[in-house]
Amino acid sequence: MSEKSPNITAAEQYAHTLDKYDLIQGNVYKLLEVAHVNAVYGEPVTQGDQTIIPCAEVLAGVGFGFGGGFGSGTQSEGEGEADTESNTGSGFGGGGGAGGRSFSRPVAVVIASPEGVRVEPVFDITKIALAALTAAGFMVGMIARMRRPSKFGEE
Amino acid sequence: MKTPYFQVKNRTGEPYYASGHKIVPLSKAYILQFPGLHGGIVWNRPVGLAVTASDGQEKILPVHDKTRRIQLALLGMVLAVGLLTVLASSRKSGTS
Repeated sequence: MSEKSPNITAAEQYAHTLDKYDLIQGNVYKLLEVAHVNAVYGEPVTQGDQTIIPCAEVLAGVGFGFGGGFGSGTQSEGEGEADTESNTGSGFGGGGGAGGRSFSRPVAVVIASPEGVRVEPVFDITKIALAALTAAGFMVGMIARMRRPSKFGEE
Repeated sequence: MKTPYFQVKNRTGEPYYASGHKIVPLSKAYILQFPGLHGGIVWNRPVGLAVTASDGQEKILPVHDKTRRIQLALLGMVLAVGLLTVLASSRKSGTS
């Protein structure tokens, strides 16, 4: 039989899509290379006799998914007649998606000079101020609630 | 080989040479891969530096995240005040 089976064609399509899926998977997982040490320490900057190396923490997340399927069917024409002709068809469908996000935040700066090497922390004043205000609000609220006489205290 | 869902990797980078010092960066990466799903989360942070002076003396300089420490201290304060408030209010209701 010289005619190629439509099922094999669909299977081939599916295999081809799976190859693409492997390619996508490989590319997406490249995002997880932020686990490397070079993602955390920046390029050194030299100014005079001092060299500064920035340090940051990196948080990255990726996710992706894929789905697909194929099928085939036969449609008969002229059923019950002698010249019955059957049409065979097949189809394939698939789709996928991927997403990710990464955050980076400076943590410290390394300063190397002829006197020695030291690490200077980086303070994120905005984050600290927001945390302090939130904490103060919670504490004031809790203390006010404690000092307030209970509704059922007189019963 | 099956990849574990959670990994902690200590990494050492290429050394920097500056002002007669050899500085080797050290980092720690926490890698979480979702079971049954494709993808994951990586949290990578600097741990410290292995510094070798020109006279051969070696020391480790830790890199601390002061902003996070302050945030955690504030969170601790809130939790402590909350706990004290709950204890005080339960004692008050117990005596009345």
